[in-house]
Amino acid sequence: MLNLAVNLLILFGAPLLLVGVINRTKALWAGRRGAPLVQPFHDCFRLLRKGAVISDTTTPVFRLAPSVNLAAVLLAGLMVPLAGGGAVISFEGDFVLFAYLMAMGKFARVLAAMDTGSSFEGMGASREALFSGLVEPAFFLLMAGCMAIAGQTSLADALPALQRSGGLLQVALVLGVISFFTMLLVEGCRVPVDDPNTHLELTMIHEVMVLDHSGPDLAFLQYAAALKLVIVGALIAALVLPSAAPLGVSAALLLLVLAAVAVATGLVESVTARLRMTHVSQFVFLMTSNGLIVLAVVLLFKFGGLR
Amino acid sequence: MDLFVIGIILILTGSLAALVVPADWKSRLSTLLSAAGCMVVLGGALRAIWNGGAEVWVVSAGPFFGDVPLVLDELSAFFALAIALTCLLGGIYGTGYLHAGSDDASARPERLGGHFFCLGLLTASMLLVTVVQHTLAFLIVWEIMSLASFFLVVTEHWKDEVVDAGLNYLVSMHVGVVCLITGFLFIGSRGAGMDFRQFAAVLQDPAFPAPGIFLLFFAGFGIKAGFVPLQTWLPRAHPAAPSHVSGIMSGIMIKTGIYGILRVVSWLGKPPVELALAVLAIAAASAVLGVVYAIAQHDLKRLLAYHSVENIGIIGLGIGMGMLGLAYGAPMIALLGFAGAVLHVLNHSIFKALLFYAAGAVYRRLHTRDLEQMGGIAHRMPVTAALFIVGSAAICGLPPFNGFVSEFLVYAAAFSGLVGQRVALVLVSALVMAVLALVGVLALICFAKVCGVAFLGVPRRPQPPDMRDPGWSMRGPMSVLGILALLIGVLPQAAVPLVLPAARLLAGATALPARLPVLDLLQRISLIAAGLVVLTAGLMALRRLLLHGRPVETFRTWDCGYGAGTPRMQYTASSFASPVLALTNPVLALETRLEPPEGFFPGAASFETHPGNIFEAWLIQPVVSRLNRFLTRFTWIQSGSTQRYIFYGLIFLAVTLIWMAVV
Repeated sequence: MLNLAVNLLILFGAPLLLVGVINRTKALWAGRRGAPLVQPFHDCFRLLRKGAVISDTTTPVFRLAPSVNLAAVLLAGLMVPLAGGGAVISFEGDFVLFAYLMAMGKFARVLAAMDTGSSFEGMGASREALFSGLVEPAFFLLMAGCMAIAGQTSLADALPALQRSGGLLQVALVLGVISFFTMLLVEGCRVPVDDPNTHLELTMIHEVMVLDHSGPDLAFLQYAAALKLVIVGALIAALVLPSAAPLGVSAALLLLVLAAVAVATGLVESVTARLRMTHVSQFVFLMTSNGLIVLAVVLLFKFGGLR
Repeated sequence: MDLFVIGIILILTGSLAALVVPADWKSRLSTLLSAAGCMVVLGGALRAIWNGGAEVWVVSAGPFFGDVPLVLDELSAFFALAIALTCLLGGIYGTGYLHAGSDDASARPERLGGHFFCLGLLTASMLLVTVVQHTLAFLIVWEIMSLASFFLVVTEHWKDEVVDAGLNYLVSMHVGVVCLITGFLFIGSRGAGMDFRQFAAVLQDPAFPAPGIFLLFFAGFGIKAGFVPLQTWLPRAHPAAPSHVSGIMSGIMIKTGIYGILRVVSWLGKPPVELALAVLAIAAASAVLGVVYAIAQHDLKRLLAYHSVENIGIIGLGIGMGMLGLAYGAPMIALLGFAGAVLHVLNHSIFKALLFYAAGAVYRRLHTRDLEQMGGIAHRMPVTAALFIVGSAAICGLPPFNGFVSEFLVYAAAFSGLVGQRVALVLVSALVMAVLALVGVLALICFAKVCGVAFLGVPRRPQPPDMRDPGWSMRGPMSVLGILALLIGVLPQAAVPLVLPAARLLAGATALPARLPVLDLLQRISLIAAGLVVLTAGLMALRRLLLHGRPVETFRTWDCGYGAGTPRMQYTASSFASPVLALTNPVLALETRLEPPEGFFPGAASFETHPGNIFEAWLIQPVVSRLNRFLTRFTWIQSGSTQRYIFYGLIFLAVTLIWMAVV
């Protein structure tokens, strides 16, 4: 029960904090003091208290989409291993449902963007659908590698398996961390895939898709986007953290990893420029090749006698 | 069996009635009888699945046919269920669809007789295909099915492209039949005769070249099903046919090919690993290429037709995993693979029919299938749009809809293979998962494009004044399909037991426990799918609460302050698809025509792209043109003069007599 409470607290509390850490990192790197860490909370609550302006070209799809998106991402979050070595809901093959729930959220966001009839948002929708789509096959390859080693098929059981075996699998572990970090940059719409601070609609992906949303709808969308950072961050944490630790230690370690991931994201955002739109898919394909290498390493480890 | 036969008789009566009753009664009486027949068959099929085991009825059909066994086993019963369901709703929708187009020549009452005759015949022959277990009788009902559907495809026979598509279909089907006849003759020549029930013994004889014969059958049935590279008839025939016919053909008729393949699998016993890998490779290619071609299409019905290729590929992946499970002696993998394949047959028949019916409803109002001419349909046809979006989410395999459940079963087969101890199985399972994921992603892009460009936003062309949701005869079947898609998605543990008997039959899984662990997984999925619905409703309520008493204004879409946006400035289907097409260009055979603007004051300029089909361009076309060139040499035989034909007859008789005298 305590386990569940701690996990839910991290899942629901950490997202906006993580955004705060990223922003603060960027500010410090640029030599500014930056906004307080809890600023995203203030922004979110301010949006929730506002009215809304809704485009006259839209249908109910536009109003429904932010809720569908948030609901899908929230439920996907329940399947991710958090503190105490377990997820809130965990069963064999839960990673399939996890991936398809994330896809359902994306479907809703894309339709809402197309509903406005703006070519900017259409552009963003088309790019988001492709880029975060290319992540999925790679995610399944990575999971396949983990599952083959673990002999288990749930996210919470499969991910920690790579670190347990040591030897050659350290290579797979490093590649796995890199891949999930790539996934975080893509799903979270960060540089070098997308620039959350951009001010030109033509170059945006996620930001342009939510241009016409306002008030609670925008709050839902931003919260869901932040939640995705925590979700993918927790996947990285599950790869590297020991799964059998007392709840308190494991929660503290998880928060530490999440903070480290946020700082890393902020640093990447500070030191790199975003990629040209035509090169983004190549960047995402890196994750696919990583996934294939992980799978190959795992097969060699398991069947080839290579240690 | 009794209910099944009564149902068939009712359907055939309806079919014949369409020819003889007065014009005003044709559609109503025929549809009524056919619907009643379908319901009876539905009941019979459900009872057969419930009771388990095979219901056998042997008909003595004279000295020529001999005894014709009609067998309603678990596999037949499930396909009969899916066929009856699709045809029941399709027939009702069809009356509305034809009525709504009564300005078209196709719906003139005197033409309806032939149409409903063929529709009934198609329904009855599809149902019979699933139970007839006798070579000759099977080929006859198979042929009736092909011919009936051919006549339905060419309903609008005064259009050249429709006749072209129809003939293409007819020729493809007969290429398939040649493969089937060869296969059946080969098996029959080994002493099995014509009774399917003897075939298993022949195919499992170690001296028999079973893999070769399987591939022959796979080609023959695969043409009907639409596996690459034999799918070229599909994207032509489906757009040419009226929408209810497209829905029935794409939803269920092509699945008779899947039935045939599964039936042959059931004779194989333990297939060699290579055969399973071959099936997986073809299925993976079908799935990926089908969806890639679909993304490139702007013709709504042709796009949906390509998605049938994709979904047949997904079904094929399930069959392949099932065969791989059999080959490695892993009954659980086999069971999950076959269960996924068989359930996807039902699921696809639900959402694909729904999508075709919604597309038909739009076509009846807008008289175009071009996505770039649509836009904003949801404003005037909200129910159709909502149902189309439901169908889209279902076909992309998104929870909480039914497509997810069957795809999950195929995934389950794959991840059961992953945790095993065979290196080939692990590798193949991982690749199958990656392919399924890729296909799911591409399908999502494709349907985001269709929903976004056609149904959302603002109209790109002026809409006709009668632009509204269709009447109840069309809306009813569509709604039922939409509800079924959601129900199976939210309550998979209720739907999967329908397919498990068939999957057990195919997997030969008598050793498996009665209570399968996968049912527990489905319960979790059900919980989360229901959770998604409830949570969304909760968040909508929260949103409503938050906005209560606060200003909610409507304003135009943000356009950078330009203030003069027009519908033409919306993102188009081509633009939406272009990033994907750039990546998949090598397999697309994209034909581009560019007239660039020239000079300092350029006048007209144009840019067109036409997606091709590499199989058509590189495989089918060269063969056909070479055949044509070769056969042209013999055209002098067909002189058209009666005397010469009589002369040929004489030669034939003489040669026969001489041959008989010699031998």
